[in-house]
Amino acid sequence: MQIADNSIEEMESLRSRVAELESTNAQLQSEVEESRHMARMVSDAGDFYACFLPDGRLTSVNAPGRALLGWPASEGVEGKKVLDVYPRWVWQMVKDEGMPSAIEQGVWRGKGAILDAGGNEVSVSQVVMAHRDAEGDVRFFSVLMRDLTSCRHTKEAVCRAHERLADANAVLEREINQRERTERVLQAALDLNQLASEVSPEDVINAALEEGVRITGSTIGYFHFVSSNQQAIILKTWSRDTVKDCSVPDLSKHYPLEKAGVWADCVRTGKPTMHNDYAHDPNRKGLPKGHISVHRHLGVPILEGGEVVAVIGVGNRLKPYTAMQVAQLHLLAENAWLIVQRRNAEVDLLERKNQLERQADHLERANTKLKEMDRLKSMFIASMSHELRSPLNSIIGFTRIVLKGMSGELNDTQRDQLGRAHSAANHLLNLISDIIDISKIEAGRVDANPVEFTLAGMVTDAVESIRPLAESKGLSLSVDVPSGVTLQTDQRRLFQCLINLLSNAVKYSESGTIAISGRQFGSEVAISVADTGIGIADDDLPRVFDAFERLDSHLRVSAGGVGLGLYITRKMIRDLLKGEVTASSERGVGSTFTITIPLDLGEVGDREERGCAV
Amino acid sequence: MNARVLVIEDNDDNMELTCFILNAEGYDTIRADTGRAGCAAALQQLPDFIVLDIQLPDMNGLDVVNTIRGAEQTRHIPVIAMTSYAMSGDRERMLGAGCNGYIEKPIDPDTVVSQMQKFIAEAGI
Repeated sequence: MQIADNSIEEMESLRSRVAELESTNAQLQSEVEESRHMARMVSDAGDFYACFLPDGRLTSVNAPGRALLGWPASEGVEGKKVLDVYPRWVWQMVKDEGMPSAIEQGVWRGKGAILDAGGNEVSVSQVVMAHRDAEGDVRFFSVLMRDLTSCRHTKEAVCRAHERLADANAVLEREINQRERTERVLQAALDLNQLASEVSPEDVINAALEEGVRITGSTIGYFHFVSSNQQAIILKTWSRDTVKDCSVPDLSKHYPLEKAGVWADCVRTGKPTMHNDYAHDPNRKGLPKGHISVHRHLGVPILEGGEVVAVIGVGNRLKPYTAMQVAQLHLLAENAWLIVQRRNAEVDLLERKNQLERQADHLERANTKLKEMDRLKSMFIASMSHELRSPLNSIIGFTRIVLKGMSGELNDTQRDQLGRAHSAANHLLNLISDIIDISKIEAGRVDANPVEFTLAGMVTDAVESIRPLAESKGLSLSVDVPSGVTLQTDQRRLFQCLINLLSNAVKYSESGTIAISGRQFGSEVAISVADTGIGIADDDLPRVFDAFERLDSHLRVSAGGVGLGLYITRKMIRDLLKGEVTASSERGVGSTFTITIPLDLGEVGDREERGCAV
Repeated sequence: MNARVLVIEDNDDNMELTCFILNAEGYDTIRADTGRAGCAAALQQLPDFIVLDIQLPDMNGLDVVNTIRGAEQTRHIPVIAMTSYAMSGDRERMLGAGCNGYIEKPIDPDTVVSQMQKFIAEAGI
């Protein structure tokens, strides 16, 4: 998650910064130690030590002393006097002050100077001690002098080191403070995250705002949205203390950006804006009556895809706002916004889920109802099938008996008229059968019944049954089907389909030849019926397989039927025989209908796919 | 003596039609308009064969066939089912229950008797 990544990154960089500072600190401390040691070394090894008699004659000078004075290390001090070492004013001081004090108190400390090899005065601090013999008489004086110049240098170095150390310490302290504050922001962000899964986006915003006010040491704060056209601020919420102390009566929710004062500058610029002297800001517009007084202000915009979507602001920090508060508020606001976005998405998702569930409920109820209606429809059709066929059985049966003369001789008119009744009854029966077939196929209640048969045999049977009708119209029939093609499919249904195509061919042709051909293509067989009839216009071709589709009013008159033949044919070919039927045509030349089905229906899929028997 | 045929059929018109055709072909007919009456007539009259409409008001065709096949005296009598209830699976169910033939209505007066004779011949009686 992005929030966590940001937090971890931030923490890591702070950690490495602190580690760096700690190591600088350690180095500085060791430098100080070193300086101190150096100073000690200088004093131990480089102090001037000499002894002299009360009359001022020198008795000994140590090596550093000789070095300072420029005297050879081995040369004796016979004949040398203290005045060879001291400037006159120092000797005077030692004589007047140092020696009496040393005699009286044993030791005297004071400032002074010695003359180096070049005769220049070198400032020293000195300790003069009086040495007595066993009787208590002063025998000689010793003096220990420390070169103050080198001492001062060392001291200064130590001081500087101390200062650097103090500076480093201060930086370190600030960094640690900052780290702690950032950690608080991060903790607040994490708290927000945890809160996010339980509460509304409004609560997340409020929590972020209160936290922002607290962390930046502010006393007031607000969080507002910005309209998508960037023209208005949609006032959203204020921190608790702000609301408590502010009495501006109900502000309108949409606040035009152009009317907003300098506080909204961060919306205009898209960058955090600080006003540490709000009262004297030259661009300030003035606060409405009753508004809480503002002396400092910090506004941070929240951006999304380069557009300001919201703004969080705090105010009245005791000390001026700095980049630190900007960073804190920014981090907090960004996190809060991410959470709000996520939460909004979740709420949206939940709403959609509920909506989908409601829809699913509706659909399920509708589905149940439809299933019930479908069941009723099937029952209706089943009973209609019986109820309609029973009377037709009598009508067709008796008219046939009478026509056959089984009930006595008929005259020609009676025979002609009864013949019409008989054929009309048969037509009605066919219609009913078609409708029942369609209903049964649509209800999935027709089971394919695959048997083995030869293509040539079935085509011949179909052609022979249509031949009388074709020849009565003067049409010839040609058959081109290879022998030896065996099918394993529903013979009765395929036969029915072929008869439908042949009937149409005869129906719509006035002359010419109806050509029937069969071909095997791999595991499929194609059976075509081509006529020399009126043909079908290109626009109408896609509709020929639709139910009750009569393409031309002229046909209704001349061809009869209700236009269910091709619809049933395609239904049976597709649903039962797992094949396809297609049509091609040229107006005035003729049409060709082609059935393509698998040779073996059993290999296409299991029986369940083809629907089950009642 | 003519062969006797029991016709079990609830529709008057169809009963008349079937019987007329059978009579015209030289069969004597016994009429029963319910399943129960049909089963009783079969036991009492022991017809040469039975023509059974499978849609009856009191019993369905399957029950009638089972009753006839269940009684010692009528077990051997050929039964030809006749129906206009042309739902898929009817034929298989009736033949499976012991019918010797299945004819769908509407019947063709020209061929229906020869169809029946063919079924009876196949039944081997």
